[in-house]
Amino acid sequence: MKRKITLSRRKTIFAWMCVLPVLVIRLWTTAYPVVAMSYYSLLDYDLIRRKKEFAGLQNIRNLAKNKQFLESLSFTVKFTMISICFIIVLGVALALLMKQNFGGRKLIRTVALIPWGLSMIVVSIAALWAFDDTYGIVNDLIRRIGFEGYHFTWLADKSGAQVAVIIVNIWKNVSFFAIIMLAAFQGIPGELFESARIDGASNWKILFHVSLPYVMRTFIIMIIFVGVSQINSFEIVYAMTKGGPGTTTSLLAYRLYMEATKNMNYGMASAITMVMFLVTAVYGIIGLRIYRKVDY
Amino acid sequence: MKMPKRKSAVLWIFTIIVGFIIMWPVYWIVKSSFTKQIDLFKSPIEYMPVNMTLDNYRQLMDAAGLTDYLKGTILITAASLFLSVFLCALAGYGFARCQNKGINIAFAFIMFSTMIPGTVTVIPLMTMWRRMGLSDTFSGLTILYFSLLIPFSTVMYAGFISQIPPSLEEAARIDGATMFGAFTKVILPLLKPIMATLSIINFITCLNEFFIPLMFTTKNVKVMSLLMSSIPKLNQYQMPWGAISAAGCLMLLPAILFIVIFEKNIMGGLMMGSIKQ
Repeated sequence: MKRKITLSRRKTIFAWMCVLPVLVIRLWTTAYPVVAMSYYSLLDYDLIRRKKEFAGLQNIRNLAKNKQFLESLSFTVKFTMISICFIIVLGVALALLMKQNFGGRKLIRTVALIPWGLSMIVVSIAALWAFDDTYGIVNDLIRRIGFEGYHFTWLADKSGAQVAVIIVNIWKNVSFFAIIMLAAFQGIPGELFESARIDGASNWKILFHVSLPYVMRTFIIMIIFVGVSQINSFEIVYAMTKGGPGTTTSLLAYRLYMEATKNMNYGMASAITMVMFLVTAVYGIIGLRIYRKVDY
Repeated sequence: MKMPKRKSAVLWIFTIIVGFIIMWPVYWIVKSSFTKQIDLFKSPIEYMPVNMTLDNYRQLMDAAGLTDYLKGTILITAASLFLSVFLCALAGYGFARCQNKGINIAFAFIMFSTMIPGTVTVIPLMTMWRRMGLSDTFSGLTILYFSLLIPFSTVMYAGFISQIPPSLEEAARIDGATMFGAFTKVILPLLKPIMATLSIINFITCLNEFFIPLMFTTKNVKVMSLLMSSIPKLNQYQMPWGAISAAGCLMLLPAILFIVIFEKNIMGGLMMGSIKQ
């Protein structure tokens, strides 16, 4: 009896030793920085003025008055919401296409993986060129399909730049969403479809009343997951627009980058991070609340 | 059961539309990388390859110092993949074989830490990395890249190992193997298939990572994802699009090659990960 207890204790100790390296690195690179960041956001911490002292909520107060910051915040919300809506609709459609058993199945699955596998920075730099007014493929294609002489300087126009950034973002992110939704759709037992068909349900009815409710949990988790990564998007604006024209496409992550690397104001940058973190957390918590309510 | 012709045709039409939207820009980058810089500035654009040339790649070698970037990516990726294969599998083993409150909380933390993006942690990490002399070093970057791979890999290994019956290791233990020995001799060899899949996915993640090298390197360490945006301009007005697309090509070709060859494994890996989570 005594030996058995020590054996199970040894097993527990061994398990902790197994998980420790990974756990320590993860705590060190994610949990600690979140705590430190929260503290920094309360400091007047500036590398140029060589200052590091407690300032309370001064940074946040400054942000609340800063017009450019508020513009970033509102564009980030707009960017995230519009992107997510399109990613959901197109992602579900693509997942349904990949699920079909037809001759092009292997082809569509391979092609759909490609945007997932490409680097966001490569996509964004390519997009900078694609949306060039004279030599880019976007205007060129529009001219070719019948709008001869079409000319629009996408990235120099306020809404043009915003639309371009969002389109590219959607192009890049639909496929990952679709792949995960495909996994979920494939987990639906076939009998469900058969009985729905026997009851005479149409394809649309089956989608909205059988398939989507069945995969609702994965669906919501993915919306949370994709949304969090959209709120924190950086590369696309860094490469495509540098936040411009003016500051119309400065996502919060880009503003944070500028504050940290150009202005070297770590206190302010941390305050921006804090706002991003709070937006992410609120979004995540609402998502999880909805997730808990779904019981299928 | 054969599909009616009309439905199949509709599916093909959608496949072609999606294929076009995805492949057209990719084709254009690849083609541009073999086109002379001067031919790239034409309107309307010439889509058929004419006057193919390797000039752009040569320019990458000479002017941009391609080999340094390749070396950095290979070193950091190889080191992080090696760490992830061994340490994440070990952690997965611990999580799969032992269940108590503490271990479960640790597992939940690792899973949810994916929700903390790099932008949130970057400033404290930069200060810490500078203080510890880790910024702009290979080891400093490797730690960050490895950390990036941990959640997905650990969760996948744990899920895979929990399907292996514990009686296998117990037999090895009775034959006198230590707990650690049972892991390396019995479990690790069984993980080969998932190791391959995870390594492919992790390789693509490492190759594509941009934010970490942007923030944590200055001049010593260079990686491929930084190459595209660091090619010297020809003159004030002209972007070196030829060389940029050649650099982009070097980034996308490995990823596309892996995807074409290992479509089934990658798909399976991503899907399995999602179901686990």
